[in-house]
Amino acid sequence: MNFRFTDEQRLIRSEVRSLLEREWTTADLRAAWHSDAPAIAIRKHLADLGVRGLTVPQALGGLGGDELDLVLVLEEYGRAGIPDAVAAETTVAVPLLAAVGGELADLWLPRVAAGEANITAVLGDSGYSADADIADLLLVATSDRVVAIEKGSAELVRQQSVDGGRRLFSVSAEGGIPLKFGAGDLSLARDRAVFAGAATLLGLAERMLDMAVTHAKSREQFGQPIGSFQAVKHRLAQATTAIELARPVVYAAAWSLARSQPDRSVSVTLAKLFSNRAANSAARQSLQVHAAMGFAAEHDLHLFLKRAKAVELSSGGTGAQLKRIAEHLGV
Amino acid sequence: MTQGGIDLSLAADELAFQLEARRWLEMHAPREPMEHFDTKVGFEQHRDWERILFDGGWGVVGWPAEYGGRNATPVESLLFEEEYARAGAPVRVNQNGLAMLGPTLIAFGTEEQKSRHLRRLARGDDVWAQGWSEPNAGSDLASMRTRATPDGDDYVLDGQKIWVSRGGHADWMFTIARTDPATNNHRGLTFFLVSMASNGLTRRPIEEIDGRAGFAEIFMDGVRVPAANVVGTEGEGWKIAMATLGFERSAFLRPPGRFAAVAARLLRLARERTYEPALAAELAEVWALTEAYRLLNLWSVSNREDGDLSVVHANVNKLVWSEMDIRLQDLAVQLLGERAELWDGAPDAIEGGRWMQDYLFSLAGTIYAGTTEIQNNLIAERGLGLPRR
Repeated sequence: MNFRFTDEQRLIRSEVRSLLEREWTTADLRAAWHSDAPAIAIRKHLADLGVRGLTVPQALGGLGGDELDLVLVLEEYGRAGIPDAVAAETTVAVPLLAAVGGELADLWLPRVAAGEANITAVLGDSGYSADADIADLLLVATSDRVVAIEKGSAELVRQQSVDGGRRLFSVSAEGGIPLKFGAGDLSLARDRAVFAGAATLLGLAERMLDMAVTHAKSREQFGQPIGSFQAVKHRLAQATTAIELARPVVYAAAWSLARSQPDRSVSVTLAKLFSNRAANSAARQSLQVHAAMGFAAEHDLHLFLKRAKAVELSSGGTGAQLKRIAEHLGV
Repeated sequence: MTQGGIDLSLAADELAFQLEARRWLEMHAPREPMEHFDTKVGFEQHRDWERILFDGGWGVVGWPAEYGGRNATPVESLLFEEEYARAGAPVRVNQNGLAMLGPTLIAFGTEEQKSRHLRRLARGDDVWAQGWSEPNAGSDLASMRTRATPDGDDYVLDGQKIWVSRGGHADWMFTIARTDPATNNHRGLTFFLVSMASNGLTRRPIEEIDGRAGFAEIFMDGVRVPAANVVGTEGEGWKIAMATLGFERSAFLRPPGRFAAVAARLLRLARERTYEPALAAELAEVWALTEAYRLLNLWSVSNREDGDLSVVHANVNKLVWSEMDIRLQDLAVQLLGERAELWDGAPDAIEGGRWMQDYLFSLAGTIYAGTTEIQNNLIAERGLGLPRR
């Protein structure tokens, strides 16, 4: 039994973090809210670092990594608040297309790794997908099959999200190329989507807590930093506890997926349950500590608070996770 | 990409260790329930069990072999605790000694103290009480007033300790007293090992809200303690006490296996009876918590040296288990319904009212070993760097 990431996995995390601190500031996130243009440059930067192809097989120009190589990167994506479609592409769409294999995979996966193409998987009943308009290939699940649709052939309707940085579309597919797919492949892809949400939420929670801690150290009331008051300390300690509890659960889900464990779905469900809790705790406590400043849209907190809520709901709310656990336990 | 790294499955030697523990416990764990260890009879029954456990090689698995341990890794220790709880083996009467004093002596004790105390502690020959709190020094532990005055080769201890776990029957007590009367804070304190048979030491058991007498008040009136019974040096008491508390709040006082076993019992309770369907979500929640707590402990033992928050792992751990335990025990009495109210002696009582006793005891979890408020302060100040007032 070993529950430590390798030095290489930690190194990739810190490289991604420094890249995103440079290339994706809150100013960039705000710009994404106001322009409605897709964030292309950050995708290119991530491709240059190699992480767009993190899960692309080595034979197709990627790094051939698994969820254990990916999870710390996803956490950084969440912390920075980059478009969540990037996380979904690497975690869900790429492994799905790699499993299908054949010409489509040979054609598109090298391009994804090089940052020359985007792909997306649309798995939910709602058909919602972020940044679907820039996807060169969409893998769309309908009730009984999955079809591949190239750009321009799917009908996209722009749906405004509460998170203005999340360019959401509803996707409906007519025609397309039917993919050979087992029911197991689809449930695996859905587990991966939940996992991507969980890891992203962990990073988002850390970011919201960091913001609150920084604020509590500098904001003064009654002649002293508000972080010296126990009432404030205890809120931030509670959020810390929720995050530190979620962390190993999310990492364990990464292992469970990477090593195809039989109870993989339960691991992913637990990861999502605890990361939902951590993100909600961090959001609540961070907003309360920022108080009216944080409720003002000119402050950055809401960018992350809304992203967290959107990611929580789009990859499975708490009720859905509790239901799955209850079913697993037979209660 | 990378091979190696995280692997949550058990290695061959870990599986062998687990199997060996399971087989031994199946053979030796008592089948009949014992009296509670805070009664005179129960105390001695539990002590006898400690001897069987130690002589079988399972008393202190994580300790060095020279003190009767088997040098088990932290992961193996967690596996042992899992098997121990699953076997329904008795609660460890000497848990404060085993989880707190033992590691403290191994880290800070003199060779003479180690050879004199560790094996006897590990075998239950000496059961230890923790005597730290005083009537006016609870969370503000450093304000304690019990005095220790040097006199020849001894110190003379005068003062009063309270809420001393196992204080009613223990053979020894590890305590802290003020050796520098000019101080009133964490400076000037010294860590002592005190025989409960000392002249001038009296004890008064205190009845708890769960009906047991788990703790006691200890009065010391001119108690002579040899200087050889000082752990560390004079004035180092606070530093050593904080290390001891780190051990207390770590995995081994409240190992995950214990809660997993409670969750398994709750699921059995739920399957045996009809219950309010709305409780299904809470069953899912508490089971999920026990699983998360298991992973948290594996993560902590694998990453002890890393990260800004490693200093507060023990505090996070304590907050998680104490809240989880209350939810588990409260759910148990909810599942049992009206009959859970029935106390020992009632004709219709379930298992002698034990579930209600356990529920009441769980309420102490957010108080002992440092209250929730103290844990939150430590996380905020040491983990997040928020200013002290």
